[in-house]
Amino acid sequence: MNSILKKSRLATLLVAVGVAVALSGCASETTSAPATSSSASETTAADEVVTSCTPGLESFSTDDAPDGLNYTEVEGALGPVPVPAEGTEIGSIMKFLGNPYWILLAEGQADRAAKYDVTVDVQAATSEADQVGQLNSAETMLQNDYAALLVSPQSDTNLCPAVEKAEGSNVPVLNVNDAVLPGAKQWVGPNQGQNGISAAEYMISTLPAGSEVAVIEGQAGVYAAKQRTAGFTDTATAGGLNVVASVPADWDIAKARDAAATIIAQYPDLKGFYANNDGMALGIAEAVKAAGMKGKIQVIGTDGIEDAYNAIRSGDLTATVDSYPYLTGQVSVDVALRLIGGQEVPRAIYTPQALITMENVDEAAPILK
Amino acid sequence: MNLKFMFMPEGGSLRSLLLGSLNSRILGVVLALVATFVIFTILEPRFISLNNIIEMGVQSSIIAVAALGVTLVIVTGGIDLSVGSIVGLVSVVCATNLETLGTFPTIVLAIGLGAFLGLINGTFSAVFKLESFVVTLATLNIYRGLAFLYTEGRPIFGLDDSFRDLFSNATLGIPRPIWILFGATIVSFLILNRSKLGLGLRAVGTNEEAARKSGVPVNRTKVMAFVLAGALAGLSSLLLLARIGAAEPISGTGYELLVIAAVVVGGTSLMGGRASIVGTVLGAILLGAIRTGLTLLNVNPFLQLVVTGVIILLAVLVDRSANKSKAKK
Repeated sequence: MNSILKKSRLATLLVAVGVAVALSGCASETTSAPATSSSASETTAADEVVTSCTPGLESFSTDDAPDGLNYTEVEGALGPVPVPAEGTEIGSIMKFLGNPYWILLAEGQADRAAKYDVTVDVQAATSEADQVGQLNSAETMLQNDYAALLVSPQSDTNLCPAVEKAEGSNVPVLNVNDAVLPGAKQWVGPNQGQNGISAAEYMISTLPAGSEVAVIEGQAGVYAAKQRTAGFTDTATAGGLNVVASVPADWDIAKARDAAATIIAQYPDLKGFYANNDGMALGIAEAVKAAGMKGKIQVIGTDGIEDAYNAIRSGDLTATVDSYPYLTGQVSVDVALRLIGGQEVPRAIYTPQALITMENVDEAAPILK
Repeated sequence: MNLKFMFMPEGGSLRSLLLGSLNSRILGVVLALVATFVIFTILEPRFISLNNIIEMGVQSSIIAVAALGVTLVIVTGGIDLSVGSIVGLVSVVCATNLETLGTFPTIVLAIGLGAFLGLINGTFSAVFKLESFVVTLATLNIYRGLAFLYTEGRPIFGLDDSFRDLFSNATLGIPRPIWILFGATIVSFLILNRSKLGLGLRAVGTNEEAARKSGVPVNRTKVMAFVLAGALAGLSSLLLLARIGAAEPISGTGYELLVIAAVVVGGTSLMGGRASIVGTVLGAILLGAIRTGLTLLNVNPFLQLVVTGVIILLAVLVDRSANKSKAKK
């Protein structure tokens, strides 16, 4: 028998055995403590530490939070924002800075922080789908002494190791917008389901009953995508529209364009598209134009980025649901400063949103002064 | 042994020839690592903290483990572009079956499935004599597509905590991903430098015809390289699963480029024949350290991409000049 083959088989076995041996030594630890990681060194005296990533009985649904407050009511309830200590630094980990929505949100955060003489360090992943990269950035940022951490994870759980570390060292974590951590202790953002509902209501009021419509979703499994899609689909169906297709395009413009082109070819009587974000909506608008159907198929996006506003003015986009990212960024810093100052802030703080069409496209967006 | 006869330079041994040419290469990445550490520590003292060093080790471990396997393929003169897709497919299959199978069988499944996917790569490359670039480009798409089909495009969340802790907790104060990387490095080093298989891998990469004539089972050797690369990619996907607690069909997208960057920066030649396991690990750590340092300094994440690319170019240029000066002597 060939000795090289023998040796290489042995090598493969070695790899497997080596890994198994290394791990089996630990397996005996964990079998006796199956519930949690309490055998690790970092937890406190309590048997299970509750963090923003501990799911509890049900995952936290921001749209139905019992302990929620509209951002306009916060000052009335809690008083002014506490003055931060000099040199306070806040860390912000965004999804991805290649999307104007998140750029605006980050700007809102930076500008608001500057008003209080506080700095916000903003980092993000290098793509909409680099979850490990986002986690790596977050964990690295924790080396700095931030007074609070603002997080907008790419998925419900990819930032959990960093969140747990931060809360373990008593750094408050504020979940901003999307995605939503399973047990987020503090969250700021718009009502995601309402995004979809607003779009559906517009289509119901402008399209004949029984019209065929389609949804282009964001990243599968992510809270905002799920809620927006559900809000739209439930409302549209109840309102007499026929949702013929619903496909994810991962917040990606090119993917959305291709998916839309396919759906247009499949359903020649299609009357409308609803996209979970503006980037994708613009891609869909391209597909609609390319098929010669501009004006015959409605395209409604979500987010309210500047390109969407321009597209509405030029007629390429029918409408968008603006969730005012700049304002959301501002509010998130205010809430962070309240948390740093020790105030008891309600678990969910809601920021506004509005359906933007040709009629109100030139109205100014609300911002905090 | 026949191989020695074929390659022995005047007054030297096969071993010393191969090892001698590597020292300048590992030196390159070691110097780069030292320079990086010095520069970043000056700019941000926290860079050198124990916390940060451990953090960098953990972050580099996923790519480094996969890179070890790809090093073994590259040394034979081949390449494996499908490593990222193997990570993706293995991670979704394991995540889906973790609950029913339990932890240990899932580990075996990950490594076994990875090895099997590598076997397919190796068979088409070596036995059917197709260019490994083309074969693994094809499997990059096939495996990724299978991952999407397997999960219908949806991610799998909520992996069992005890599985995650197994791979993420610390033993003796050092997180397990680092131990696993250490173990995989030692095994890979032994395979490449202290086994007949390793000699065969390097011989095939240096001169395939000569290797064949000296009795090296070229096909089997090449296939074995791909199998090992696949197995290590499977191990890497376990680390990935534990780290983010979820599996998605898009997991591992783009890994092939990071892995090849680590291998190239570490001094392994893409032409084959010469490789450094230690260099690969150092290369992965170097790339991770640069990214971490830039994040600590709050540099724009897009600029980080540019810097990483520039470092890769510099590493290759240093390589080239080191080789030229060696040739002149």
